Amino acid sequence: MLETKPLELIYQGPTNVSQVLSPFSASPPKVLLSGFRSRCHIVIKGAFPDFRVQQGLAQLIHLYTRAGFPKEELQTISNQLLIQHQSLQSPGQTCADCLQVPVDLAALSFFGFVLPFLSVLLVGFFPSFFLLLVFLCSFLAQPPLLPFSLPCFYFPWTTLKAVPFITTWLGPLCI
Amino acid sequence: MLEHQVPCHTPLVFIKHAAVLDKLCNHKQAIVDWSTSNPAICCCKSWSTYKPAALNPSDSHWVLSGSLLHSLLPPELAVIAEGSLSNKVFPSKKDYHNQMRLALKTWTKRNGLPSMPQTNISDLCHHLWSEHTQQITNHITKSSITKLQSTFEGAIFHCEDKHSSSLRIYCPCLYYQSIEQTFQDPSIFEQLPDEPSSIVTSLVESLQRQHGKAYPWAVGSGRQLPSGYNLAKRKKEFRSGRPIISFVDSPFRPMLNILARLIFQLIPAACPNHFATGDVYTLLSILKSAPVDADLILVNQDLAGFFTSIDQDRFVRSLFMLLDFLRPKMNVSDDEAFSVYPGKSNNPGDIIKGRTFRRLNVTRKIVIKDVPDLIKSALNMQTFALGQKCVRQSRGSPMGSPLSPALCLMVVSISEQIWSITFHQLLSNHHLFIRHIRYVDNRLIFGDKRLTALAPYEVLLDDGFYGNPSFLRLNLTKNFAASCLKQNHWN
Repeated sequence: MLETKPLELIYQGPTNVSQVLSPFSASPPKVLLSGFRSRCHIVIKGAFPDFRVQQGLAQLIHLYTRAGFPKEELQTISNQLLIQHQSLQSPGQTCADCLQVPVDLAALSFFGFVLPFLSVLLVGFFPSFFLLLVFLCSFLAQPPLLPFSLPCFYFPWTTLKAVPFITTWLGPLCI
Repeated sequence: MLEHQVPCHTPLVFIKHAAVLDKLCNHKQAIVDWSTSNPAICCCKSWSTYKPAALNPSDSHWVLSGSLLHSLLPPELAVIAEGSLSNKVFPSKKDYHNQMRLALKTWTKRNGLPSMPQTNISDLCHHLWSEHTQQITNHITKSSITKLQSTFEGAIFHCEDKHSSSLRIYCPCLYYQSIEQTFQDPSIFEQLPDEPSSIVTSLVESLQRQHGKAYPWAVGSGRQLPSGYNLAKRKKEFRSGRPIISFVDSPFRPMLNILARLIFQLIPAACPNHFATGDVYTLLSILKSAPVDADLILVNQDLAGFFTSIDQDRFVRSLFMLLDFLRPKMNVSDDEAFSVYPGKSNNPGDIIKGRTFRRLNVTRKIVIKDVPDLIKSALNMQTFALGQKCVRQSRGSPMGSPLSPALCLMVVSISEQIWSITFHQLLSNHHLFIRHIRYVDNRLIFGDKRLTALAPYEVLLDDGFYGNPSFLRLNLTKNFAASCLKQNHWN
């Protein structure tokens, strides 16, 4: 994966069982796991890039599992919080993604069919075929069109989107 | 339950269970013993089987780590030793029975219902207790805590600095040495010959005389002198530690809380350019905004001895400067008053000990001309009890006072505001990416490498920026606000 950001923020959470409440403590389960919830919030809101968030959550789940909590429950809570944060964070982003699809389709029809046709007329067959191939690849790298937000699909796409190979190739070819 | 008209949906609210810390730790008693000149008796000879758990095995007196004792103790004790000191202790059968009986009695009385017969309550308790004991294993109880105490008889149970939830078992000889080293720094603490009880009486009288008429709520109901204790530091081999002064149940506590709240509200208005704006997430999001292609530098600094390094006179001078900074924005003449909302530690509707909580509907008013005197009175409350001895802190503001964080942040925020006003022209003219953020006493300056050549940053990065005797110490780790910063491809 290409790392474009100059800085990463890694959450340094608890590493010792003594830093978290025990399932043998005399408190209701909701209270016992409140620390886990708040630590998940810190990781999700603070750590970056995305793989550092996943890493921080995995470390927390590992520690709480060592303390004696069921892994499935911890996994469910962290997934819920992740979804909750993404839905809070990205109403604008989701709208932008919805708009992105028709824009991409229009771009596909223009760059994929009209432009190669014109370039065949003006330059020759090979550059236009290459242009079509590159553009189809870039389009396939977009997330699947879903009516709801699924984080597991969202992350790889975000990572691919950060690699600016479309503009790099189209620039010299279009000139 | 139904036959006695107790509706099932009604919650019975019990008092919170005690934590392991309350039941197991005896550090406060250790300070009393130390102050009454009880000689320390070394326990290390009887701990030879636990040597693998010692954090300082090469020293003559040991500190045992609870988590390392895990494999050396039976399971019911290992849960306590390895676990958090914040874990709650299950009540004994007798306590549970009493609590249940009292809760039902109070509830029926408050709702005008006939009380349940004792035999029925006992039957219900026996039934619930047998269900409870079937479901739990290795749970933390008072009896297992007593067993752990007897296993390490004579030891001092406490935590260490920056590991507040981890159990440490100290040899008394080492713990006494740590108390002495911590509170016997003559540049910060001075021993007084008085008794704590005589000091607290004169303190309450003096506070009532000075502020009782204008602020009858200020002194409050607490009548205990602030009490000191020590958090031993590992980096000082547990021979010295961090002095903490607890203001729980001390007189003047309501006023200390209100003054702290007042200063916290005034800082952003008076010093809009101070570096600690926003919560920790806002500060961390600033880090995300670093440009991809810049040649960056990162300077991570700590303010050494944040609470004990600032002169007391400087707090009062800083308050006057804070008022000066506020003057263009609001009327700060002597007879004006600040309204301070006491704030919420609980939300309306919360149930505390079985009663619905209602927020105190009072806004405290502090006349501006009284604020310096109130702060001086608060700063004069530097005497604290160390067991049976009295000690006075002569420099800084006590760690543990509710006012200390506000006062210290006021001083550093004013320095930052003055810096930004002084270099306003230069700072607004450069087009470099530069960010400065501060989390309490941890300051981070990062941005374009060329910032070091700019005059404002030469001043800002200076060790003595916040004035003597406080100084900035370069933090060589990349830790900031419980996170670690990693540089990917920059210097």
